[in-house]
Formats: sequence, structure tokens, C-alpha cells
Amino acid sequence: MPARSPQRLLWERFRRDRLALAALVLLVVLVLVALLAPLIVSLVGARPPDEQSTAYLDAFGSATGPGSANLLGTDELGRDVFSRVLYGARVSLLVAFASTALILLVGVSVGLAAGYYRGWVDTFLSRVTDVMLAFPVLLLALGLGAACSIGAGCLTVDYGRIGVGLILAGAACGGLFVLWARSRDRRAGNAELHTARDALANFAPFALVIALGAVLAYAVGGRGALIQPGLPVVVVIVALGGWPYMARIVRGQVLSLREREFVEAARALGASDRRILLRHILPNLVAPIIVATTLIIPASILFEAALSFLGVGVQDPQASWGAMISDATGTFDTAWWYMTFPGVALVLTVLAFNLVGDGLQDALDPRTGT
Amino acid sequence: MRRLARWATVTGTLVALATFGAACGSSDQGSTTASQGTSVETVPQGVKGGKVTVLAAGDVDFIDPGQTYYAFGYMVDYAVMRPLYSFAPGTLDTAQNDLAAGPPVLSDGGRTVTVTLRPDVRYAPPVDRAVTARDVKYAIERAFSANVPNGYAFNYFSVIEGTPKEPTDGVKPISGLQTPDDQTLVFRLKTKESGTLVAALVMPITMPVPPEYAKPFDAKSPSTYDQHVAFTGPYMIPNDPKTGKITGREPGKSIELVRNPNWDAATDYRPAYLDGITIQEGNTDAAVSSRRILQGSGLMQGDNAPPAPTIKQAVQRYPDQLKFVPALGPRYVSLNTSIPPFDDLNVRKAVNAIFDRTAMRLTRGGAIIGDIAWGYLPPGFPGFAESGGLKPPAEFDYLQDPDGDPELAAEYMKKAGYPSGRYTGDAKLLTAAINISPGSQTAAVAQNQFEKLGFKLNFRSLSPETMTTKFCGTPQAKVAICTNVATSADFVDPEALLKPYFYGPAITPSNNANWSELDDPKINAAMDAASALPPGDERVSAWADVNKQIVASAAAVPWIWDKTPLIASKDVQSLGNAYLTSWDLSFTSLKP
Amino acid sequence: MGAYVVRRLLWLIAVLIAVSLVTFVIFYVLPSADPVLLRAGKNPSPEVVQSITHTLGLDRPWYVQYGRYMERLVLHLDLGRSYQNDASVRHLLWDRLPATLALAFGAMVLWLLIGIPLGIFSAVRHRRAGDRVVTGVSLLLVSAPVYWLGLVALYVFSADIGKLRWLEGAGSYPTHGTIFTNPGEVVPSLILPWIVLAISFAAIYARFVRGSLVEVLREDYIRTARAKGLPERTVVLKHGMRAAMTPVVTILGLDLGILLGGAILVETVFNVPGIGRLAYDSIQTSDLPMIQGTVLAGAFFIVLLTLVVDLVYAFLDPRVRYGQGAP
Repeated sequence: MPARSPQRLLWERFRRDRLALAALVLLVVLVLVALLAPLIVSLVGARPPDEQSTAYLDAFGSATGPGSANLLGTDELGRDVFSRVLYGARVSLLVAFASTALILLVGVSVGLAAGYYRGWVDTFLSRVTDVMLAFPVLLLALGLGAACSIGAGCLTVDYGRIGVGLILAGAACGGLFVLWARSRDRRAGNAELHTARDALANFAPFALVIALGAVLAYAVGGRGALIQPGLPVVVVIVALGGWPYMARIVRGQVLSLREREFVEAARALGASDRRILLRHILPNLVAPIIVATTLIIPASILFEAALSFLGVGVQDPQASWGAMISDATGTFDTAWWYMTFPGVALVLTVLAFNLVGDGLQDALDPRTGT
Repeated sequence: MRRLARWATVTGTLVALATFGAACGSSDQGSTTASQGTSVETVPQGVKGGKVTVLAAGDVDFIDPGQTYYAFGYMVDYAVMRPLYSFAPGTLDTAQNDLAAGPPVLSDGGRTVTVTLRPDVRYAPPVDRAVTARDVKYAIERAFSANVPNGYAFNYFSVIEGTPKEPTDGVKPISGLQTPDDQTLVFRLKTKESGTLVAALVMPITMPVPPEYAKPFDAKSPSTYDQHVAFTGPYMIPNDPKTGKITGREPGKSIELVRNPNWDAATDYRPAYLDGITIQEGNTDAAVSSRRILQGSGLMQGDNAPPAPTIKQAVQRYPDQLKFVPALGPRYVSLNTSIPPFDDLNVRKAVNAIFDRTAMRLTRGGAIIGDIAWGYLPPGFPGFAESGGLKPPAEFDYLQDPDGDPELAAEYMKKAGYPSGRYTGDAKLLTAAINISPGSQTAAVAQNQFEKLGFKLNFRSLSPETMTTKFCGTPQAKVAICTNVATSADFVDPEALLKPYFYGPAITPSNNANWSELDDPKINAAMDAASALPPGDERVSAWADVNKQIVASAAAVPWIWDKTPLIASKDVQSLGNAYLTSWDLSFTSLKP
Repeated sequence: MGAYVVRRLLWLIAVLIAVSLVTFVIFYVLPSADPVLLRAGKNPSPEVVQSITHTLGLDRPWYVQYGRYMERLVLHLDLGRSYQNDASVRHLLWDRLPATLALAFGAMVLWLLIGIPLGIFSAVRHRRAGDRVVTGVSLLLVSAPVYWLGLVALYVFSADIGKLRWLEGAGSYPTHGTIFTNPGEVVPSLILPWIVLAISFAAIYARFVRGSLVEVLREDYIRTARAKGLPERTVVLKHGMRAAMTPVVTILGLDLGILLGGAILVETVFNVPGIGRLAYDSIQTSDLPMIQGTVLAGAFFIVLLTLVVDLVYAFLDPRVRYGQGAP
């Protein structure tokens, strides 16, 4: 029997879990719906999501329910709920992916650095993580959102400049790191860092990732963005809430990995830090990171919905499932439809991610498989 | 929302010593005659005794009459303290003599205003003595001190001789306030323009404060009198009989009102049926609290007006439990005349023309909640009829169609230099809106209207406090559009609704109320002239004319003269006070 | 052991100080509303504004204000006065605490009672029908936002608006009394929020216990125990659970800590006057002393409970005390 690549093996195992497979299909459908929302809306003949209309409100301003004119009813401004649910998928998915990318970026970097280099780097980073974890996250998010008066409040600056600033900051950190490394080198001549060049080389991947993040930030929030303003702040806030968990998990994994024999062997053979990190540690981190990511994505979606529910998420008229539920709280006893449908959409989306995540976990860890 | 209390004007003559105008209660309501012989509307079958619970969302701002400036604070304060003059429920036509024995007397061409106080009003324990003119004098003086931050003293009472230019360090005497004897208070003014001052005598600043009792509290920074207030009204908040420290209030949770043992019904026009009132705070969900009130017993509404769906329910199922009281001002969308393109009159007229004001009104409950507005003086307010009444005068073609007139709007845009009839510039207009319902929905509808004309908005959804203090109220923030403006008259005179909001020199760097930043020299001069007139018909007509000039400047888009809905449980009957824009606690009773 | 406890306590204090500093800076630098202007009335002159600023002590630089705040806090345990209604922050927090405590602990008891047995059940019936049903339902509940579940629950069960008017709805928490002094009114008003919170968390715990127990049941010593002839129940409940419970205790501590800081979402939907609701309201009105107070309270509980959990571990596992291994 020819040897199968690990990816192939993973896929085979994943496929066997039919529920997870169905969930994956659902996810693909969801992404398609989000991307093709305008097309679907026009095909079905529904009105655009922003279109207000008093024709569907009664004399007291109450909305009409599902019917021939509006598939899923209207909200209190006469907007078509069906269209808004479809467009709401965009916000949820975009926030989920963008903020998860940010979380990975920051969390993995911090966790790696803390776990591998130990010493005061670890102490400092771990303390920062601890303080972040101590913050009541939702409160902090609320406060930042309210303070930034979402709607391009805090992040009104030019994203290109932010990106450049990030790169410069990264370079500055890298430079400081190099200096520190050299001084350690001179003092202790130990095997941790061979040359300053090595330290710089270690840091290069970080800088690259930061640059990527800057580009992503620009793409998400810059001119011609897919979504109205308000999104960048939400993405940042969700990422702010999530990175400590990723950092903790990664740090824990790195701590145990670095004591393993193959790492000791590599070091004994004279491998540099970067080599060890890239060839030995990172590959073994992929599985736990994937598992953590599958937990973080649905949590991010729910977090964004919670922020929108509390009024500090994406702005009107951009449709967001959480905001739609929030709008419905005053009238859900008489107008059940615009609370129900966004909620169901949320549940289905998060459920799909959770199922896929579970399936991945099972596929990655053969012991829990059949 | 920190809506500054709205004010009634004293129409008719305050100068004359003759009777006030007849009270305008509807004939099927009961009425009693107050001690001065004027008739005051009361509940049809008022019975003495019983308790009622008021459900409120937030807390009062202050009990201290020198500091309170918020509608809910007024609702409580006017039940526990008595100013010189006040308004009975149901009418804004006449102010009742409250602490005063008779209307204020103008002499010396208007430079002197003399008020005579009743001798028989007493403070509740522990102060426990008769109110004197010196107490009212002290009450006004303390409002000018730094320890008692008062929001309107400098605006309306600086015309008194001897008032300081900035808040004083400690309470200093004002030379223009004289008390030749215990019952007489004389205001000596710097000019003959007494109209504003006289109208403002209904404000809480004239509620008496005993100096010998309050001085130690006012010496602290900020003053702690708020926790030791002295009561003169039919009700009081329970306090410590020795120190006067208020015990019946748990900030953020509840306030108890009990009968004031030293209140004498013969001295007051208020019936004060109930034995006690409990104000329960923290009911922030208006839909939930409204439901409880409508379906429960012994409850009534505090500061939290029922939302539109609940009004609908009330109209359909509980019509006897719902009353409306007109709000003391219009709602409008302000356009900052100092920011292009709103510096162009034609653009402003186009915006007025395109606005679907009916759709705006639907967000608050539809036709039942009020009339479509075209001007800044609401129905029932002096100057409303003189301006033209419900229908806009024909010269305001851009306000004739309440659903909006797109063709007319396009025409005005073309006149402004946009040949397509839509805005084609690339300015992103900073727009400040409120983030709580129903204001948020109104803002969404407003945004839609602007977008119909091609404007692009930088839309910010803010808490009411942020919107007022950091955005709309700060000219430096350069906010082009404020979607949720609701003005509120401090006293019943058209000046209160027009001057703070449209007078050029009134623009201040912080807490500015003239959000349109309108600074038209002709209008400013007209306001100066109208302000100088003594109370009377001429003054009202002059201000009505100012009203029309402001509408002609299209500095804002007025859209509703709304009414505040008031609900109570089926076993509670009460009257809405048009000046307090809430239920009047002193006119509330259980049903027999 | 004693030294460990002392070290951790010092760390708790350090974290709280850090949290208070960060909060202060954030909400000072990025304020929403201006408390001075909230009191200054219409069109105030600059002198009036300046006077109020001075009275409230807000014209000092931020580090002086922070210093005064910390001084009052440390020396007098005084958290300042709210800008909104001049009430003592500490008093307000203390007042709201019982509601949050009742909500959090009540829900916790419920979710442990539901979640853990379900988790054990589904671990034991691993991959069979029973497991699939429990896992499926748990997954569904975990995927639903808790506030949405709350709204649905109100829609169905609320006494004033629901389809089946079985339970007290939103806003029924009484103004006076706590669960200790006035259980007759408090308990019925909390049943629906308890259930909603509990089913959400029970699902999480069921999944967690299942995953953890499944891992543990593969271990060698379990096989040994079985081979020794011990009844299955003893094997699972005594040996299996003891090991499986450790991660559960960790997340229990974290979850409880977060809930005690105020379950904003549930408190908002059900109108429970707890600390979460207070925090939300104070953020809306930019009431800085109140915000500081609620954030500190939240952080305090989180750190306290993490500490308790760590102490429990340290007590059980000596290695942890000496700073090795515990990630």
C-alpha cells in the first residue's frame, strides 16, 4: 500500500464522520451565501437590506410578519429581514476570520516566545497575559467600543500608516531583542543563542507576520472595504479578548515540547534556535493550534454578536445578527420574526463551526477516533 | 437622556394684580378652587389615602433645588418643595401662586420686580419654621456659588444687580436681592428687561433654602445639601429629625415620599391625596415596566415613556390608563450652518423638502404621538397660534408635504449648483445620533433621508450624554448633522425655545445648545428686540415672528410636536402636568 | 505552602493594581461623555465650566487623579462617588452584589447538577446512541447565544408575555431584599435566568467532562482497576472522575469568576439588578468612578477564583507549589 501524506490521512479520517462532513458542506454554503448575498437577494426578489419602507408598517409603526411581500417579515423600519439575515452572514464570517487571524498572529507569537525563551521574557509575557485574562473581557470590549464611539472612532487613521507603524515597531522590538541577545551572548556564552545574526533571523518570521497583519488590517478596514465602518474596531476588540487564551495554550505546548528528546538532540547537534523553532517545534504545534482555532472561531462569532447585541458592534445600516436580535428585544412578544431568524442563523453557523471543529479534533487525534 | 426641563410661559399679565386667566381644565374633569380664587383642574374622584409606586428607569439628578435640571428631578422636587410660582396640571396658560401670595409686581419701568410671599408656609422638621423671603434670596445666591453647580442661574438671573460674573467661592450676597421684611422679596435689575426673569420664577431655583441650616453643607465642595434638603411641599423624603440627613432615599434604587407634617392644605392649591409614594428605580426596560404598569395595580410611570408598541397596546386595550401631555418643545434634525454644504440656504431647503417626516414620526408611534411640526413653538405654547398654527404658512413650500417632496428638493439642489438634483461633492458629513431606542430608529430613518439626496454620512451612534457633551454640544467637534434634537423650554415663554437654540451670541465652546450654529444678524437683532419687551401680547407676537424667521433660514428640519404618553394602573388616577411633562404626584389618587 | 499562598496573594494585589491603572488610563484617555458638561447646563460660560471642573477635581493631570483615587481606595476603601447620582460607588456595588451572587451560584449549582452527570453518561456510552444524543444537544446549546436563549425562554415562559405563562419574566426582581432576606420574591424571578444560564453552561461542562473522562478511561491504571474486578461504577466514578475533574475545576473557577464579575448579557435580558447591568449602564454614561469600580470588582473575582483554584491544586500537587510545570 503506498504511503499516504498526513494531510490525506487527516481528510480520510475526517470524511468518515458524516455529521462533520455535513457541517463542512454547510459552512461552504454559508461562505457562498455571504459572498453571493446580493445575487441571491435579487434572484428571490427580496428588497435590498438597507431599504426602509413605511409601506410595511402599520399606523403605530409596528412591523409586518412573514408573508408574500417579505419572506421573513420586516423589521421596525420596514426593511426586509430575509435580506438582512443573508447580509448579516458577511459580518459574522468576516469578523470571525479576521479576528481569528489576529488572534493567531499575536497569541502564537507571544506563546512561542514565552514558552521557548523562558527567563524574563516568559515572566513578562506571562504576566501581561495574566492581566489580560483578569480583565472582564466583555466589559473592556464594551468600554472600548463605547469610548471609541464605534463608527470609525478610534481607528480613523490611515491604515497604510498603521501598517508601516507596526512594521517599524516590530523592527524596533527586533532590534532591542538583538541587543539583548548579544549582551546575553557575551555574558554567558551558552548554547541558547549562537550569534546576534541568529537572533535577528529568529525574529524575521515575526516581523513578516506582523507585516501580513498590517496588510490584512488595511484590507479589512481600508478604502473600499467589504463592510461599512465599525468593523475594524470590532475585529480588534474580539482579537483583544481572544489572544491570551491562544497564548496560554501555545506556551503550554511549547514548554512541554522543548523538553522532548528530539529537541535536545537537535540542540546537541548544534542547531540554531530558529531551526529548532521552525523544524521541530512549530510542526508539532500545528495540531493543537488548529484545535484551538476551531474553538476560537465560533467563540469570536458569538462575541461579535454579543457586542452588537449590547450596541457596540457594527453600525447601522449594516446588518448584523446580534444587532438584529437587539433591535427585536422591545417587541419580540408581538413581532417574533426578527428575533427568531437571525438567532437561528447564528445557531446554525456556530453549530457548523463547532461540528467541523469536533470532527477535526477527532481526525487529528487517532485515539479518540473509531 | 438629560433632557433639560421644559418651561411654561406665563402669558397674560403678570404685571396686573388682577385675577389670573381662568384655568382651562375640560369641563368633565373635577375642579376645586384654590385659595386665590382661581380654579384648578383635579381628578374627578380623588380620595384621600393610599400609596402608589412609581416605576422609574434612572434616578433623579439631584433633590437639591439649586442643582436639579432634569425632568425626573423636577417631578420629585415639585412634590416636595414649593417655588415662588408653579403650574397646575393641564394648562400652561397661568402660573399659580405657590410660595408667592400674589403675582409679581413690576415697577420703575420694569427695573424692579417685587414678590410678596405667603406667611404661612412652613418647613418640615427639623427646620420646622416659617419660610421667609430671606430663604428665597439665599436659594438664588447659592446657585451662583462654585459649590452648587447650577445649569441656568447665569443664563436667566444675571440680569439681577450684583450677580457675579463667575461662580463665587462660597455663597456671597447679591446686592440686587433685597428683603425689606420677612414676606417681601425685591429684585433690582440692571436693565428694564424683566420678561425673562419673571417667567423664570417658576424654576426650582426659587424653592426656599434656610440659610442657617444650609450654610455648613454649602461650605463643602461640592455642596452636600443634596443629602439634607429642607422640604416645604405636601410631601417630603423621610429624614433624620435631628440632623436633617435624608434617610428615605437610596440612590439608584428608590425614593420614599411621605406626607409633610407641616404642610397646610389651606395654603396650597395642590390636593395631595396619597399618603405615600414609592419611587422604584432601575426599571430600565421601558417595555417591561410599561407592561407591569398597565397590567398591575397601584403603579404609575416615572421617567420612562412607553415605547411605540406598548402605546399601541394601551390604545387598543387600556385606553383609560393612557393620557398624553404635550412636550415642551419640538423635535428636529439640526444642520450645522457653519459646515458646507449646509452653509448654503438652498441646500438646507432641499433637505427640508426631501424629509419624510411621517416616516420619522412612525418610529415614535405614529399619528397618535403628535403632530407633524413645521416650526419651533409647539401647540399650546405661547406664540404657536401667532406663528400660524398647525399648518405651515404658504411661504415655506419646503415644509408643506409631510411625506417629503422629492421634486421640490431636486429643484432646490439645482438652485444650489448641483445640476443633477443630488449632492455630488465628496464631503463625508459627521452625524451624531443616539444609540437607544426609539432615537436610534429615528436616526436611521433620518440617515436614509439624507442619502436620498446623495449625501454621504459619517454616522456615529452615541449615548445621549456623549452626543450632547462631546459631539453636538462642542462646536469644535464639527458635527454637521444631529439627528435627535429635542428642545425643552425652561419656562413658558417663546424665548426659552428660540434663544438658546438659534441665537448667534449664545454659541459657547462647550455645552453649546445652538447646534445649528445659526448666527444670522437679522435674527439676532429680532431676538434682542423681542427679549426686551415686557410680558404680554406684544412680546409673544414678536417672538412668533422670530420663529418664522428661523424656519425661513431652514437651519434645521423640525418634524414633530410630540406628546409624552403617561400610563398608570387601572386603580390609579392622575393628571399630567404640562410643565413637568410627567404625572403630577400631588394630583394623584387611587380610585375609590 | 504558606509562602506559596502569600506569593499568590501579593500577585492578586499586583494584578488588581495593574487592572485599575489600565482601566483608568483607557477610560480617561478615551472618555465618552464629559461629567463636567453634564452638570453645566445650557450654553455655560467658560468660567462656569472651569468652576465645575475644579470642584470635581478633574482639572488635575491624570496621574494625580489616579493617585488620589488609589489613595482613597487603599486608605479608606473608598471607591469614589458616581458622576450620575452622587452615590457612593462602594455602596452601589455592595447593593448589587447579592443579585449577581444569587444568579451566579444558583446557575452554577444547576449546571453542575445537569452537566456533570450528563458528561459522565455520555463518556460511558462513548460513541453510542446515548452519547450522540447528549453530544448533539450540548453542541446545539453551546452554539446558541445565551441572550437569544433568554429571549426565546421569555417568549415561551414569561408570566406577562409568554405563550405558556409559567415563570416570572424580565424585570420581576424585587427592589428590596436579597435572596437571603426576601427569597419569596427573589427566587421566582431568578428561575428563568438560572435555567437559561445553566443549560448554556451545562452543555459546555457536559462536553468537557466527556472529553476529559474519555481520555482518563483509556489510561493504564483504569484497565488495571477493571482487571482487578472492581465494579464498573467504582472504576468510573471513583478513579476516573478524580482524575477527570481537575480540568473541570479549573474552568469552573474561571467561569464562576467571570460570572461573579457580572453576567452582563443575562442581567440585561432579564433585568436583574446585578453588577453586570451596573457596569453596562455606567459605561454608557461614562461614569468613570463607577466603571472603575465595576471593572475592579470583576477583575477581583476572576483573580480570586483563579487563586482559589490554584490553591486547591497546590494543596493536592506539591510540584505546583514550587513553580514548575503549571502552565
